[in-house]
Amino acid sequence: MSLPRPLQRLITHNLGWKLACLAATVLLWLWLIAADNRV
Amino acid sequence: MSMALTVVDIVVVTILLYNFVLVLRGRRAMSVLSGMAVLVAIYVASAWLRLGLLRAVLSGLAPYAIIAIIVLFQSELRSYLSRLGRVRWARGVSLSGRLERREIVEEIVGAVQQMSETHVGALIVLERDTGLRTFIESGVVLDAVVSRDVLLAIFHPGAQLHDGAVILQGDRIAAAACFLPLHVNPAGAHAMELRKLGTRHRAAIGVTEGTDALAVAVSEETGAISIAWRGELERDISIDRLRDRLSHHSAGVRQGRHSEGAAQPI
Repeated sequence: MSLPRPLQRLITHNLGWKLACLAATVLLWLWLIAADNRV
Repeated sequence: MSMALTVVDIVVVTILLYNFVLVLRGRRAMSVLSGMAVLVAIYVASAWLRLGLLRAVLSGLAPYAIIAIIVLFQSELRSYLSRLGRVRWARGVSLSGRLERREIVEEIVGAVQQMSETHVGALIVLERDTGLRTFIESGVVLDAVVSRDVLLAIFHPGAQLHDGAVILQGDRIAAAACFLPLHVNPAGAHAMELRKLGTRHRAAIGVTEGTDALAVAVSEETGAISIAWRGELERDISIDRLRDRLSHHSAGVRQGRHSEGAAQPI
């Protein structure tokens, strides 16, 4: 069963940029957690 | 529960960040952002390698970074906020959306047909996935709804904005009288022909060389309609062929990847 076309587009369009933003956000989140733990 | 909230948290921040990147793409500010990313990377590396002096210098700069971001990205932040405020998803992928697209194509085709018959020179660039903001900013920003009459008025000989290109973004005329990069290196079998074509056609090829935009040029001398795509010029095409290419292109803009095109972002 494949995903509906609009949903597919939502995921695959500009996938590189989306993954880059996700990676940056996760790194920021990890950094915040590390900073919290240090305090 | 807290895990789910964390995921929601990360997804929301990712969407906000991605939207900001979309605003920056195609603008000079993107290289400024890249420069800032390099500084952050150097800071992280200095912390990792325990380079005290470098880290101290970069930490000293950090408090001013927020002011620098506001100043450097002033216009981008404005676009970003207005983008967030616009309800884009209300248009959705619906039948009405498709009819709207067909109407836009018909408006462009109608204008080009009339300009071709009356030998009025024109250059219309349809943006797709690659941002053309740098070129838009070189012209006069309009942000008007695409219509046959407006296009005819813009290219009317002697009108203030007739010299230069019109850039379309979806259903909007983003700007008129825009400067485009010229195709500078006509070589090969068609070199002589391209040189003879003149600035308008060379600009049509030039703008499509580095982008996925489609350019429509109408010759002032012959009234011939040409289309440029990926640096290739298709000359003297029929109205039906133009309609076909425009429909295909606009479908790629809003409906998702057709064959080689891409869709509008979220």
